[in-house]
Amino acid sequence: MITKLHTLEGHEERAWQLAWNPVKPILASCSSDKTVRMYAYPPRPTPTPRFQHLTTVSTGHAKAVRCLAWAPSGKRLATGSFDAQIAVWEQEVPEGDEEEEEGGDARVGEEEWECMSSLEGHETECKSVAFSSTGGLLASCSRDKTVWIWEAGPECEFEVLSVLMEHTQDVKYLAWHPTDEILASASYDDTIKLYADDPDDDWYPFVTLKGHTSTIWSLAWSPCGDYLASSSDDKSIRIWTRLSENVWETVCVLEGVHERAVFSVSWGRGDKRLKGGLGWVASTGSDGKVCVWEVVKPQKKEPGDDSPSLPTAKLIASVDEAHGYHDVNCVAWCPRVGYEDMLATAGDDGNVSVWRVSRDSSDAEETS
Amino acid sequence: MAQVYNENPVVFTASGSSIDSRLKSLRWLDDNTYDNEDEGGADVEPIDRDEIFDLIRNITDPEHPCSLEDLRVVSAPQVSVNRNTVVVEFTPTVPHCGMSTLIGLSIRVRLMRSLPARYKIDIFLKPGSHNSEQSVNRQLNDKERVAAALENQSLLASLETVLADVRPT
Repeated sequence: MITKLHTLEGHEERAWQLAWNPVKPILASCSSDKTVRMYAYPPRPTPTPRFQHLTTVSTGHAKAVRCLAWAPSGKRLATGSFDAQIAVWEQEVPEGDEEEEEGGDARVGEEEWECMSSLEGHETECKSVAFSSTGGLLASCSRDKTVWIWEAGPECEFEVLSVLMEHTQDVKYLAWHPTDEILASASYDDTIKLYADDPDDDWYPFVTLKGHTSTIWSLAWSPCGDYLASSSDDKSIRIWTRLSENVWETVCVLEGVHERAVFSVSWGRGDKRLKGGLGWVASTGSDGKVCVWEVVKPQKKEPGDDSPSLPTAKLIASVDEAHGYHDVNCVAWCPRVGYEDMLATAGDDGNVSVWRVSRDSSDAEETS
Repeated sequence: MAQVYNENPVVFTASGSSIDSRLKSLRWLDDNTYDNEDEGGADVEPIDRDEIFDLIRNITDPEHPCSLEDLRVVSAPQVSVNRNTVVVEFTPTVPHCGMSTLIGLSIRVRLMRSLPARYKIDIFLKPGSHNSEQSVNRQLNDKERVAAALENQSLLASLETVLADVRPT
């Protein structure tokens, strides 16, 4: 069951994306109205957390703010815009105040967010930005078909490490592996590419994933890092894994549920009590539905059974018209401990909605 | 527009429209009239194919002082409505027509501005009518590309020109 906790209104135009701060209890969203809005929620889990508007950042981008991403430290935010630029934001921390905010609370909102760096290089709309797991690298992509990898310095200076021109069409989305320095890119050319760094040379694509029959809108790595989910204009979600060195295959296709393009997927930890559970994949898109799929890797049946054990996915909850008749552009699980069942969505109505997911009761016995 | 893709299009006579239907096409369909389905019950008629066709028939062709209907780029049978989904198929006058994206975008924008927001709009070329059918279809239905295009001032200016109807009233 998916239950709505809040509707956070305020964007004057379509909300494109949202991002949960990985450290502090803050939710941020970006919009065609060229702003980023931030909300605070209680650091300790409660059944019905209150969300409080913290600040609205007027980004100065000349066009829609299409994408945003937090650095793993939670202290740095990147925004990408249809104006082809990327901006990196930090809060000015008052003297002597720097060490105290581990685990953070709502006071994080008191300082202004300032644009520390503006990254120019893309020729056309920036579609996605993402920080690597250490925060040392920032990746960006654009309709100009390129993926840029930037090295992030401590003083918010960024240097281009690599410009990857592997896709034949717009690059729509980027996702870094949760632990390794592997970057995934999704494109209008119907493919996904994975890149790694050759220490003696440059970044290079080591595999191309083919299977979707239309634009791939978004990607999400499983929390364990062994699987990659992708969502497409072809109305399906695919789950991919590496079967052997540089051989990646689809192990699951989630289809027949979404009726239009699937704009976003997010992979959360889900129900940790479940044996073989790989987490919960949330999906949403142009049909306005939000779906939650439980992914499970079955246990080996017989000792000595060598056949690969492939995961299966089951729809455990869904809600129609999550933002009324509007498209839903983004879904993201809250990463905070104790809030693993909470997710947020951003829609064409300019709203951000917060939801809580619980397994439908008929399935309850399977977890015990 | 330096290159003309079709210098001599066949101009078909627009089907005579009664004053009633002309008048109908003058007022944009708006939310006030149609958004109250629940309360309105039986006396609110759903928007039908002809009403949607009325919205797009008089869009000006980018290359000629003719309407899309005059050139048979659009026709009523090429419009379908199913609940909250509107599908419009259009036929370029020549299969290499470089204006197809602009024509398709103008149909989309006209419908976006005129129909209640609950409608999802899909725009396609008539199958087999264009050399780059797939790529044009894809651009016209890529939400992100459409959104970015509508923030492009020069493209928007061309759009406004064709959206000024041939037969304004």
